[in-house]
Amino acid sequence: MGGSRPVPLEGFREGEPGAFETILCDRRKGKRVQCHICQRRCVVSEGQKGYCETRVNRGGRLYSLIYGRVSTIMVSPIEKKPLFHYHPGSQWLSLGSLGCNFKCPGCQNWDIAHAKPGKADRRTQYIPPGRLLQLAKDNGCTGISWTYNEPTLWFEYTLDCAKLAKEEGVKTNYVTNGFITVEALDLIGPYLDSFRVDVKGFSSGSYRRIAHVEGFEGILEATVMARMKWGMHVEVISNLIPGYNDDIEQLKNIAGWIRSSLGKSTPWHVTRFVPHLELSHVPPTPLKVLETAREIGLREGLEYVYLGNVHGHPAEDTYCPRCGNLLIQRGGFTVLRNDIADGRCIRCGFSIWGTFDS
Amino acid sequence: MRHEEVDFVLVAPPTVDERGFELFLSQFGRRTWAEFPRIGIDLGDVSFIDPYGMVGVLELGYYLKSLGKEVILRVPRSEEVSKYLERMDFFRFRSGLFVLDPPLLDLAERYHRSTASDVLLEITRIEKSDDIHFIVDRVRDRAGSILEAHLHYDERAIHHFIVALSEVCQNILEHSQNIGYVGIQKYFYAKSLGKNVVKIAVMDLGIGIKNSLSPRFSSVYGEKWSDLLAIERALVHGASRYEDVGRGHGLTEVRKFVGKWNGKISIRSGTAKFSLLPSWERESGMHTEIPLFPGTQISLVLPEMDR
Repeated sequence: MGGSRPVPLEGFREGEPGAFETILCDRRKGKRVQCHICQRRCVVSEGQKGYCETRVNRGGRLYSLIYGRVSTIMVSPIEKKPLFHYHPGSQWLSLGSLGCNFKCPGCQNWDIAHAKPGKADRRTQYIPPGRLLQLAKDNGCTGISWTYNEPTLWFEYTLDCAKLAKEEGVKTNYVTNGFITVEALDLIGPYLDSFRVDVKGFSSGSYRRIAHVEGFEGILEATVMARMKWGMHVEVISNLIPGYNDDIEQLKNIAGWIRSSLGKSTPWHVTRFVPHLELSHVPPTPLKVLETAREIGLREGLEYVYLGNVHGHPAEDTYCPRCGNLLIQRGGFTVLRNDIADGRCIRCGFSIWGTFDS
Repeated sequence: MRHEEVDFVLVAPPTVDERGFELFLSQFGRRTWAEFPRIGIDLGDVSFIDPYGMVGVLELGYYLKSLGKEVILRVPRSEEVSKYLERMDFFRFRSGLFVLDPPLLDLAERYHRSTASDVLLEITRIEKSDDIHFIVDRVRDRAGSILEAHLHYDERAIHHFIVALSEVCQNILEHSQNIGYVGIQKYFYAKSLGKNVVKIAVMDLGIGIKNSLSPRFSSVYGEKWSDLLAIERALVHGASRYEDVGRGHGLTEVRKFVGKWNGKISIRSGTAKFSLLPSWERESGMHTEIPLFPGTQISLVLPEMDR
């Protein structure tokens, strides 16, 4: 199984590089500031932090507390994001910071996503954008992936890095909940190459229960913009939590929306929920439910529906939508076989959606 | 039309509106027009066609003709549809573009014509700068009366819209560097609205929005510069090919007007379509990788005002 490997960070400083003044915010009366990075659009009073607790109002100006502050950094395969149709088998420098704008009760990365910057229980290291690019190159990485926590929280850092990466020919990726604002997406759109977005359900009720947010239409809008307006490579993931978002109606609606708004070739990853944290009492997603979701996706017209967290299942592999030929065989996160040549099925010549190096 | 008489036949779906026009074009797939000297356009099964559909068919005919193709047009079997096409002056423009099949339009009776119909603006060709004042006057008079009589918009709103629409028509001459058509029709839109709507189609066969804006924007966006991005820049941000202040207002004014009146605007150019949708329309607002078609195609749908 292709796993992740840690990145040696000799010589990097620990601690705070100094707060970084944010972009995309409006000044309001009484030294209040409204942040426009995520769709919560928090109005932050002086001395207070926004919902994510990574942005603080000091004297009527908003500062990021996590610019360049890396909590976790690894080299890992693109299959781990998961992105299955974008340079399969390639290695990516994957990093995260602290905090989140969702509060998912079953979060698998809670130790960093629910952590607060400045607390002693979670150490971070400052890595400036130029050094991050060098690390990616030194480790033979195809690209840089902002993952582990929501990348929009350290938006300014990802924007600076993505601009540099574009100049240097290094690819970039967001692993995101899609709660980014249109304004922020328009700023990073010219430089960001791929967007792996979580669609956690297709009802306000599901989003309220799973992520503690009202409304999900903005997430769909941002995803369509990423794909259509900014030409990013987009893949969608839905982690099916029994009793929360696994009803047939929602699954049909997610699949139908992907087909009609993003295109039938857009991959949909349906993954098994693993009991964790405040959802420890909820059982793992039954395999039958995952397989039903896949059938729904295929019936709705999607060409690529994958199952995740079920290692060894044939639905982790890529098949040609026209002739059914097994094209990419995966074992865990490792590509065992790749029969796509020049972006086409080697048996029937069907054009396979995505970017393939072979 | 016997299929052996032509090299390729585009068969129109029963409904030729915005969506139907896409289905129509998608039949061509990845083939190139150059492969076929004689092309058939089969409207035989059409039971509904709106201004967007008929202006689109005319543009298709004009485009194929410009490529040196011989185009045979099978007319609708439905006499009602043929009568409507005739009433909209569709056949007036077919001369030189299509060979009709059957060659003579055999209509038992034609719709009663009024030069001041308050439900439609016949298809009007936008070709020479000499025509523009006549065309703008005609669009102004007819569109104004349709908006007032059927949508109950007030005088100021109508004036605002007509100025913007006129500028869009003038853009065809200034920017597209080719001919265009405009057509308008009132309908009762029962599906999700239960109201009168006015459908307006404005199309040209010009260089398209992306090419028009490329000198200013392609270097800014690099590899991400695309038809969709160009449409969005023009429609939402008022981007113009010219740097001087005051340019690019036609489309943005139309957009503001359409938004205020809860209407819909769609722009197709090159291989992309971008729409700003009202709450009553459930469809996707962005499409890319759709079949390449030259020029720019604009669709406006304006609903009746609540009284």
